Amino acid sequence: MTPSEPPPLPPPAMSPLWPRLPPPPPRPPTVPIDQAQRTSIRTLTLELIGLAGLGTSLIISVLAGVGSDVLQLWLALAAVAFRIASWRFRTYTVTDGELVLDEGILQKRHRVVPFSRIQQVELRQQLIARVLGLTVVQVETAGDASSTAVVLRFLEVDKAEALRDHLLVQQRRARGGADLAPAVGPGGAWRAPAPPAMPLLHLEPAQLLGAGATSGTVVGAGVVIGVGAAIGVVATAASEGTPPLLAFAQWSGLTGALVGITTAIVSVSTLVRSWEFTLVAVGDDLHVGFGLLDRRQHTIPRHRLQHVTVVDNPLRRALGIARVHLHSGATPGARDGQSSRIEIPVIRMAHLNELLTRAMADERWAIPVLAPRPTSARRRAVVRRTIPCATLAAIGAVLWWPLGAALLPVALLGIPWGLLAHARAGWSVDGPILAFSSGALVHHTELIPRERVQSSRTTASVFQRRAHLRSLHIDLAGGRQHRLHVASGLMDLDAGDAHHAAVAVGGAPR
Amino acid sequence: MSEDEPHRPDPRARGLWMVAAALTWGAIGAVPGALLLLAGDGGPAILAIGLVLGIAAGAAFGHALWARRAWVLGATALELRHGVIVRRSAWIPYYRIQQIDVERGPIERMAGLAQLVVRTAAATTDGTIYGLAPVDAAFIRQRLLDLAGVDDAV
Repeated sequence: MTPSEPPPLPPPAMSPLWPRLPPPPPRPPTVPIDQAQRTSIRTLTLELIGLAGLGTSLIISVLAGVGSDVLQLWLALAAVAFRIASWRFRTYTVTDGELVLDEGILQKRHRVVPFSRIQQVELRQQLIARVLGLTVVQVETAGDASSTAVVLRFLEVDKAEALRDHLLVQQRRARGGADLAPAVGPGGAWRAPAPPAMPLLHLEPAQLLGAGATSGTVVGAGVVIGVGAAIGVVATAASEGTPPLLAFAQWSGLTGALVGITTAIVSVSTLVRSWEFTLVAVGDDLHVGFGLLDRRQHTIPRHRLQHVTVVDNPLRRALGIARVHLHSGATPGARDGQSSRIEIPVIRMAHLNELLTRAMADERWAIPVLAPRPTSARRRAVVRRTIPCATLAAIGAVLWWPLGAALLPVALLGIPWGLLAHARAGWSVDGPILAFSSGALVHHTELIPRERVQSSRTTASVFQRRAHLRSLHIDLAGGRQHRLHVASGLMDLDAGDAHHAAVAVGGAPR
Repeated sequence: MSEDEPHRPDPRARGLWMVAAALTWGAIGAVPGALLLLAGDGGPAILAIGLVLGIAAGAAFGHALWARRAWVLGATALELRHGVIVRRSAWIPYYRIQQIDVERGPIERMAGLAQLVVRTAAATTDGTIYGLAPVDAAFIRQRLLDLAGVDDAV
């Protein structure tokens, strides 16, 4: 194989969207090929910490005169010995075409992950691991089971980054990117070429605080607290004969404090979770790093990105900002439901198309013009929401009669709700990016590259058939656990349009 | 087996589905009569009427299930249609096919039937062809494998 440098990417056409640039990624050390590697010996430090804890508890129990349970001590020591032995027997090997994981003392386990099947590589640092300079490497493959991820616990950070870069380069090569042939380094080891890094997004603490303060939790809590306070004002004024203005003053202080506390908690937790959020395009991969205590680094190869979701709420819409999710085809693991999803906590809507275009290095990435649903869908949108609202109102009214009669107007909530939802619903399947938008107050816009569609479906219930409507569903790669994340589409499209769209999307030649 | 033409499941599937639905619906139809009998409030006539109506409706439903189920080997995609109350259609491009299974449960083996499950990388893909003769299932599997190509398709 002749060593060759990858062609340099053209420089970014515009300045970065946010002024501060993240630091460039460091040059990685080499990844040894065909040599079985153990995870870092520092992993055992955790066992030593456990042993120290055991000794301390032993000393305390002896000093306290409680005496110690000898059997318990031996069991604990045996468990530590078993884990140390497990570490000794767990190795990973990077071969020419696969990542191989061997583990087990008596019952040996041998797992082979071909590079071509890798969906996503993630580095994850919990607090204790950061102190030790270690990180977890999680390699995700496509599939339905949570056992599809290979987890290496723990590697030194530089080794882990080198391994990640190597795996990603090899994964692209395995898919036929011949121009990405790696250079041969000293000692015959492959050296992952470091492609140019293009910073795309860096979120400042103020922006993260803003994201937290405008999140759905805060807005929802604000509405609930506000309604509660309004009821309180009315009740106080009615029962104690307090002047309404005074009652209002009493309650507004409490309301303000509650809303303030909620906002502060959510904002600070967003700040801690997404601290130093950076999105960088390195070659053909998107790297995302964030987190103050648990620092995470996700990497998704661009061509593995399955779809993008833009989510906002009324407050964020007023401010012109939104949250964006990037989904890969990997199945969310049992431990970590977030692993197949990268969340950009906040982005200006005005920058969204530009960010997508640059992140995907593809001019076609933009929200297309959305077509509305037929007017016959409006009546169904209203009816479908009015029925549950009316049922709830009726049950409440009967249960708490006669006071419950105040609940009857709830039955009418379905009307504005349905009208809002219908006005918002829109779709486009004509271009290279399929788009579906839905939601009454919280708006979701799904963007799906046409070439990522696995299959398409339409369904028509009895009621839909009467109105000549059909629902369109798009299936995307991924597991069933998070069904909402792997199937997208829109209800109540014109039956003929939905049929043609499903055929065009699911039945088109490659 | 020609292309681009809707195929029905095997006629034996119609019998099986009619019997299965008739048994289920008949059991449901017998419930009111049985309750009345238990209450000692007469009811043999109601039991009989419920049983007959349930079996008749079940048989009709089983037939509708069969009549509504169809599959088409299109030019670029496999198309499936089914559903009596909710009508469903699915299109699965051949090049997205990851795996094809032929499954035969005990009752299907007794009835001489098989089902073919077409899987893509998406868990939500609706790709099961029910009620095939085993020979047809093997034939369709080979046809789909020929059409699927050799890419990894994710």
